[in-house]
Amino acid sequence: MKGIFKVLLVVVLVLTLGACKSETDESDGMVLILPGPINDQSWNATNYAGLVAANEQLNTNIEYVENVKDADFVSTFRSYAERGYKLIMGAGSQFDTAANTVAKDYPDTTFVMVNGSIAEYDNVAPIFPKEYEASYLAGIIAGELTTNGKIGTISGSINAPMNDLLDVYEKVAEEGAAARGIDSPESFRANADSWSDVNKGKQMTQTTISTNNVDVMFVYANQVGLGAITACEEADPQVKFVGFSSNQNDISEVVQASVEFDFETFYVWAVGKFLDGTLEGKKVHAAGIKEEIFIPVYEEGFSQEIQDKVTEGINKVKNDEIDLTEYFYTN
Amino acid sequence: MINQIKTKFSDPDFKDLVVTNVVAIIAGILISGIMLLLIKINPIEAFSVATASVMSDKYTFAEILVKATPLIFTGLAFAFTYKANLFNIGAQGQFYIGTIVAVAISLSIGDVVPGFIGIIVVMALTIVAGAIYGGLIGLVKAKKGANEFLISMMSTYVAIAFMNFLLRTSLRETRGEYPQTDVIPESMRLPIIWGGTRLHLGFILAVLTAVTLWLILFKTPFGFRVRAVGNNASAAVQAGINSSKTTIITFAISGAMGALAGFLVVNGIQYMVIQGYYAEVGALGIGIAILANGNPIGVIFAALLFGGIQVIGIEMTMRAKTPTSFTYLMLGCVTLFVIISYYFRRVMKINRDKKKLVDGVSK
Repeated sequence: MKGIFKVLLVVVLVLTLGACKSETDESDGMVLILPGPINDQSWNATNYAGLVAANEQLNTNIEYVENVKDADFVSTFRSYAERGYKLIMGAGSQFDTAANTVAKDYPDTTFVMVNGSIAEYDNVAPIFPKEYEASYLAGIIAGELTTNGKIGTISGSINAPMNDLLDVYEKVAEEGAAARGIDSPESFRANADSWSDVNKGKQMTQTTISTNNVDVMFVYANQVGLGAITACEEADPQVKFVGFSSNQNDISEVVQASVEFDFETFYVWAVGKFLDGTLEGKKVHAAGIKEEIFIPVYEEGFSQEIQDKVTEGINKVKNDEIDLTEYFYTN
Repeated sequence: MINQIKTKFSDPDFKDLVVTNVVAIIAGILISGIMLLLIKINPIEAFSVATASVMSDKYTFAEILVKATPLIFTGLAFAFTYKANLFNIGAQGQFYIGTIVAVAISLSIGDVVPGFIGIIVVMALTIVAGAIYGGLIGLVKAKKGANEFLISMMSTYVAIAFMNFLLRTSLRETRGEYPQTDVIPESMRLPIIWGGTRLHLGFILAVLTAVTLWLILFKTPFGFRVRAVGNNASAAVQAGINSSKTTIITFAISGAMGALAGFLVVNGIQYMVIQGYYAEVGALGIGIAILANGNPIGVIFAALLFGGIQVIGIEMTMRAKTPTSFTYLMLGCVTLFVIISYYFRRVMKINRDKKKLVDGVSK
């Protein structure tokens, strides 16, 4: 017994002595809180790439902490704020509630949620990609690719921004098809209620192809889209697929064009705004085509005519010649 | 007091319990610390920085008690049946049932029933729901001889499926963005008992519950019956104890404990239900109960230890840049060694009994 107490005493002493070290000044710190691992080849990886780009281009030193669990959102935000970090970012709208809970106690810290939509305090400034502008470009491509005017979409979940982007996509694709003389184009929307179930994506796509005779597909549901692409490939005749959010052109020959989200530009834009003091609080800051965060990417040999139409669409948005919110109808 | 402790230590079983557990905890922390060396992080420095942060900031310190609160209840959920030699490994499911009931009732009566009464109503209904859910396991065990391991484990999957269903339908947040509920009204939240921290009344409730369960187990006829069934079920039946009834009630109490953990998370900390959160609260409860050897008072200290490891782990991630997984590695190592220590204790006890027997015969 005595031996064990001696060991315990040594451990306690080592810890106590070590604990006397002084802390470094962290008053200029910036940190990004991620809900998952930085190598997930999806949402967290995209955000991490944005952080790296901001650090390189703006000469900042934004740290990151990955795999933060829902139960620890509030305490993690608070812990960094308590240490005087001037910018705390959270990757995802699931951080909205936690950031707004903590923000009121730390007015000198700015809280930024990527994809967030709640800004109750002067130091909360969510940033939001206007995804419906990206789906506008995808809609132009789909309207040109379809031969029978049957447009299929699958979402990963249902929420207001998702409805908006699908509304724009479908209406723009239908308009494009109608302008090409296709009789009464139609859209078919389904919700996978998952962002990871590859098999579900395949099964749902097979069903919509066989029952609705869809000939162009659009999926915004991360890995679910991979299953959908397989189903498009296996269909007879093959069904075209418009890639979204990342460059999906290399996955299969059925994907000839994608609209990529450039989170590197998005992060550089947001952190740049923070640094020059224009990222004011109590406001959602939206970025889109004008900020050049959506980039159309094409396979070699993809129709130049369609590419020109997409460029035309980009210019319309940049010159305020079109109001995409007029396409919203679900919400 | 010192004499009391001395008397306790003269009991070889108690001495073994303390010694093996202390060794197990130290071994778990040391082994996980060695892992840090592999990724070129000085474990002593990392641990020191994190400990200093916990000790110097009352908010972070209070987080230990905050984290321990639901763990005390899931620990009790396992410990109570454990004393009857029954195994309730379904605390995770009972926890989710508790969260669902707590959030659903809080959201529906929050604006109608005055705060304090409302909270009592929510707590009472959570206890009832948990007791029914846990009691069902006891019922099939007692009446049909079903394996309570399997039934309690499967009941967790049913609870998860039920929660997922509700979070996508009737309980889904108004924004409709994520599978999570709306935030409960402020009137339904448990009062904070330490200003400037998140420590809420639930911690005191947890401690009082543990003490009550200890009293029930060791100072009441019912507790005696539970332990009698645990020590030797056939002998207990021979002695006239209704083993079926005891099994059902024991499981009902365990289920209520698991559900109460859910109530405290919803009304005390998170104020909402998020799909799949606190996914390890049930498993940690098992480790805690074993560490405490099923003693409800011991569960309090074991839960504080686990809460402490979690908070120090998070601080290490933030301040010493250890990987997030390190917290769970540390918890895993400690749990593993605690479970191994259980085996050693058993061997030591058997050897001691053998020796006693041999000594007795040779006399």
